[in-house]
Amino acid sequence: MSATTRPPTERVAFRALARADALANRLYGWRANPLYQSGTIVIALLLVILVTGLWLILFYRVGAPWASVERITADRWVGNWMRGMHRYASDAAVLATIVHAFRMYAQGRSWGPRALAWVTGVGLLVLLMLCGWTGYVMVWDTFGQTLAREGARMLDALPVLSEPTSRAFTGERPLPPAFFFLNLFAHIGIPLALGIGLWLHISRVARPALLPPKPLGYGVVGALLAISLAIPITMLPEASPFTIPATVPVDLFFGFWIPFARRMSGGGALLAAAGAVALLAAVPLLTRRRGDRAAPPSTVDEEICVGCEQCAADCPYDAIAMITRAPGGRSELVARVDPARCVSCGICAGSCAPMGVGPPGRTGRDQLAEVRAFIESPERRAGEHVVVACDRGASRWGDAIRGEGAALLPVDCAGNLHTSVVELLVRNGSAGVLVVACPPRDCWNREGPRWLLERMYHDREAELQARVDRSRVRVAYANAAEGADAVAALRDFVADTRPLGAVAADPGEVGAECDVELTGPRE
Amino acid sequence: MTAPPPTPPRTSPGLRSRIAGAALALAAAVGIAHGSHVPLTLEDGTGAVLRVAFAARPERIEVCRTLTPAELEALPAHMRQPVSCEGTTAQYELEVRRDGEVLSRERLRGGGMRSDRQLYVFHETAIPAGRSTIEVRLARLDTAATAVAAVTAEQPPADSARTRRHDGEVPPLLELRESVTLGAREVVLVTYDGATRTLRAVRPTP
Repeated sequence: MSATTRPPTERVAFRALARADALANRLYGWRANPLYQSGTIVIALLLVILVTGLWLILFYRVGAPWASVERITADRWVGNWMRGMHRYASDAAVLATIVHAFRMYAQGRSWGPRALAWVTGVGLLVLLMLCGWTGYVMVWDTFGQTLAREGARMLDALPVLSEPTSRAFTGERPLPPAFFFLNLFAHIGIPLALGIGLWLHISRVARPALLPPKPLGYGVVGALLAISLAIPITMLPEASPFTIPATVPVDLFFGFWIPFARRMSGGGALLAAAGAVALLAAVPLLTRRRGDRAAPPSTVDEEICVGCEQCAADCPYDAIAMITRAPGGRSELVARVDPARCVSCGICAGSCAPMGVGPPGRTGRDQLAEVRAFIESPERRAGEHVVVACDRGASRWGDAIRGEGAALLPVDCAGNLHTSVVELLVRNGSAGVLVVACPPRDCWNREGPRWLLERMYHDREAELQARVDRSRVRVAYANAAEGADAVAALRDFVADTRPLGAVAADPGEVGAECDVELTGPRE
Repeated sequence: MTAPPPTPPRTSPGLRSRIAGAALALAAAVGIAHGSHVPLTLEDGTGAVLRVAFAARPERIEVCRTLTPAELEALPAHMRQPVSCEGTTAQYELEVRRDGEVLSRERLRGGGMRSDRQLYVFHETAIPAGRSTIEVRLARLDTAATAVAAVTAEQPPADSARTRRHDGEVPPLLELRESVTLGAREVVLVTYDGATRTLRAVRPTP
């Protein structure tokens, strides 16, 4: 679907995201771009939190919470450092989760079959906040007390507890160790729920990336280590029901809501929090494309399908299963698309050598028909370069590309691109074909550039045929804000292909060859 | 013919980009650390707080009447009690004053849907720091007679009404008058002591 049919807020968010991505690509390279890896960074941070938390729990005492944490904090080189890592990693996890959610929203990846991932993601954020909440209450300093009292105020608005929870913090009697034990239980139990939520979160994607690339992972942990040592954790005064602190150092990532909540009644604050969570969870409904704006799921032409299983292997969303074909068919297996899981990414169209699968209008055969019309159009000049670019990426810089004398062939996603399209372009007199894909971790369809490279250069099924001169084909990466890079890649490509001279048109048959032996005749 | 894949652009940022990237990452890390300790002003720092918080069992009032033979016959054999008592709990009025000025006055009922649980009180009122005379008065409003009037309005006439005392029920009238001196941001707590069945003030220990 083209970007013009996207809601305005999404378009604005996408423009901001593309610019931020472009800056991060320049500084870190696309492989280590932290914005691309926000989801895996959260998991890496959760691991840091888990390890440091396990160490901290050894020294925590529910009978003397503040005193035990003070002892840990006083140990400058181990305890304080561990607390710092634990705390800063929690803060960074909240930040990375927000970046991740913003990315999914801006890229329109929040609705349809992706709704489960979005809703579970919202649940994970809520659990993370609750986990941080219980963690700060564990310390039982002035900030922990503030959080506990605000939480109790909200709980008391629910008509389910006959005894107000807030009474626990009035000073009528000392807080019992059972309170801290329950809090500790919740602080340990919530991460277990986080694990289940995470499993659900990634349950609809194939080959989920769980950890960031090593250099980025080391960088994140190193940065945490550095700030833990450079900005050590300090103890706040112990919570007292008889003294109200004038100021409390608040962790903004977990306590940003406190100033707002304090201006409301407990019920109002609870309603506001519930409303915010409900609004976030409703994003899939609010952003859902309806009618013609919703790209239809892939379909399989069973007369063409040879049962090679490549589309099922390549599908980034595990939406394609191979089922046994009725006896007498041309192959033992046939592909079947689950429309409830298919996001219409079209990766299967690029992976099917005989062009029998893909979203309606975007199968390999549809692409060939489109490129034939492109070749025969009167604007085409013999021997010109062709840039094939993603709709959501470099094709936005069509004027700049055309200004370099090249023709632009926009495609929905470079991962959809059937290699026969490239072959047809080269064999019909193009001086060269430059495929400008989005950077791999930026692909809206997860694995488009990865499979594209495999098909072009590593003989992955539906591969670019050996008869195609590879020196006239190149893959480059550029996102929607990297027009200059796309143009630079085009200039380099033109310079490199110029010595090759003109190419003679060879309008023979094109098409990828299947590596599957058929068991029967074509139906 | 398979050529090696081309080197994708910008996979290896230059030295200047790396330095800028490291500086940005460091700035982000420092930003996170500072965001983790942002001072938030909770109070203006000059006043004190009067907190009234306690739980106390309200007095139970029962309205009883003798069942007719027909009503008894309609009940299962094991439930035939000649006298039926409907219970409720008394209402109370809580009044809080400082230096003679009424800070709050409210009617209290027991907790729960049937008001048969304890009375729960939790109020916080900002008061000026310094010396104050605090007066807290908790007085029972219902009597057996008012309870009978309330019940018989909708039901058959009652034979009698009675209050049934249990250990730990709050007395019909509780009063506390105490002068306290509070510093800025200090809290004085007025609570109910179930053991002595009195209100008492608790101040921060130095």
